[in-house]
Amino acid sequence: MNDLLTHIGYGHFLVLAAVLFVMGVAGVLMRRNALIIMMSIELMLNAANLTVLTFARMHGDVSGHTFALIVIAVAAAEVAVGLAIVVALFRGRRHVDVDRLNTLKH
Amino acid sequence: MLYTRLALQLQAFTPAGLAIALALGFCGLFTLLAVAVGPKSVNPEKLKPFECGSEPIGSPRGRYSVKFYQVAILFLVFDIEAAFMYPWALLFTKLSTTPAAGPGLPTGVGIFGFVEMLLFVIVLVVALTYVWRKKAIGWE
Amino acid sequence: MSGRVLAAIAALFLVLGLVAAGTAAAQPAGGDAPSVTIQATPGAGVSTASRDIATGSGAGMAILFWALALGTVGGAAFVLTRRNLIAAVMGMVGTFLALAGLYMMLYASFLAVIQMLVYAGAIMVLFVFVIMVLNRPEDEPWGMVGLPGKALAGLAMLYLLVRLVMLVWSVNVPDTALVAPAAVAFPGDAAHTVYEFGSTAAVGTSLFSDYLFPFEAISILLLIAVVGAIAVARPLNDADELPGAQPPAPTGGH
Repeated sequence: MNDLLTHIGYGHFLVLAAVLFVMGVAGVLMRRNALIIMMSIELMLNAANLTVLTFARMHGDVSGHTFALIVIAVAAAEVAVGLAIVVALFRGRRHVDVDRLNTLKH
Repeated sequence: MLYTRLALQLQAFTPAGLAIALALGFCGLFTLLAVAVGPKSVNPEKLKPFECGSEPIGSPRGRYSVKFYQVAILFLVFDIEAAFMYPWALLFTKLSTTPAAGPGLPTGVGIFGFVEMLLFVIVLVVALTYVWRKKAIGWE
Repeated sequence: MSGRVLAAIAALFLVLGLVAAGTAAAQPAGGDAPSVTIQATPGAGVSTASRDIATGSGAGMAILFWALALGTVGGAAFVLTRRNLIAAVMGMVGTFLALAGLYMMLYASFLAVIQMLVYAGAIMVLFVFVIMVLNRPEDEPWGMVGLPGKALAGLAMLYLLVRLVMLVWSVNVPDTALVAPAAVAFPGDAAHTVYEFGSTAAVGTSLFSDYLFPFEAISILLLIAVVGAIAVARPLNDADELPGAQPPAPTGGH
């Protein structure tokens, strides 16, 4: 147990990434505000990035850093378009509550 | 024993830690000093939000125009572009050097690095042109 | 309640199926524990220890790691629980800064700076701007209402976490990981300049040689993102501004 606390290995980083990812999933599933849901998606992307960088370090291969850089760029594009959709939603409906966005359901 | 090891391991972070400690220490020290020894007189005028002497216009909780968002999107995109430019700038000499034809021969000058960033920037200039034509950054 | 609980359960089973499939696919023949065997460079042996030292041993690194992990998870918990959106964004910024520190521990110095510049600097600014544009207090934050829904969701998340942790904890670490990461040289460089692992130039070396196409594709993606975001967020006409919105820069006399 003491060893687990003081010897930081790759497993620690991977487990932390898993915790972060699950928190992101929980946010997407349990929150109703579209903005919080987008933040939770960012959390999941960051967890993936942390995993990729851990594996890059593990293998001493700098390609993983390029992957992470590209993931960050894709996340930025996703946020720009996603938030634009949130703004457009708010303009039409005065709320951003995803549980009440059920027009296509009925 | 443990503390010696700890100190050794944290040695690499000493300059950064020192800067952080100094910054926090000075901020905290002078804030505390101001609270402790400064004279206090409270009146309603002092508790108002500070707006450079003007009367506050509207509520700070009011809604803002979508124009701010459009400008923020542009900032984000060109921030990403800059992030990709740092490694390119560092490697530009390598990217514009072609290998020598043989041992002892001088290396040539290539346009590979120039052209690849040119393509990248041209595509983003198209985006800027679109935004410009749509008057999303016009601020009348 | 039922619709969202069902959606949560469906998503959970989807993830579980994926994890199980990944575990089964990665399991070597005859292996008893689910494990992912990472092949190191040819010739290097694969050790079975799963907790080898990644970033240097000892109390200093451990304290640093646990502090940063606390910051990461605490910020994420803030995002999940706050009703005030600005508070959630601040928690998010804390998460990103702590993650930048973790990237530093993994020798990813360039990525750590980019994380701060792009995530904490630009993406969070965008979130704050949108919150300022909407500026509406949240009425009922949780989709899962009632104790059964919350308990079920919590259990589902816990199960997902346990499975993920079991998967990643069983990753075998190659022996090469124990040495310092190798420096990177630019391909075809006559001078054989080497760059430190994770430095800006090392990442650029990879980006501008092996991953040139993704690099150019990113520019197209950013173009599409700008066009899409501006087209979607623009008011259809000038009168169709959000009601109650303040005009930009009302006086400018400050």
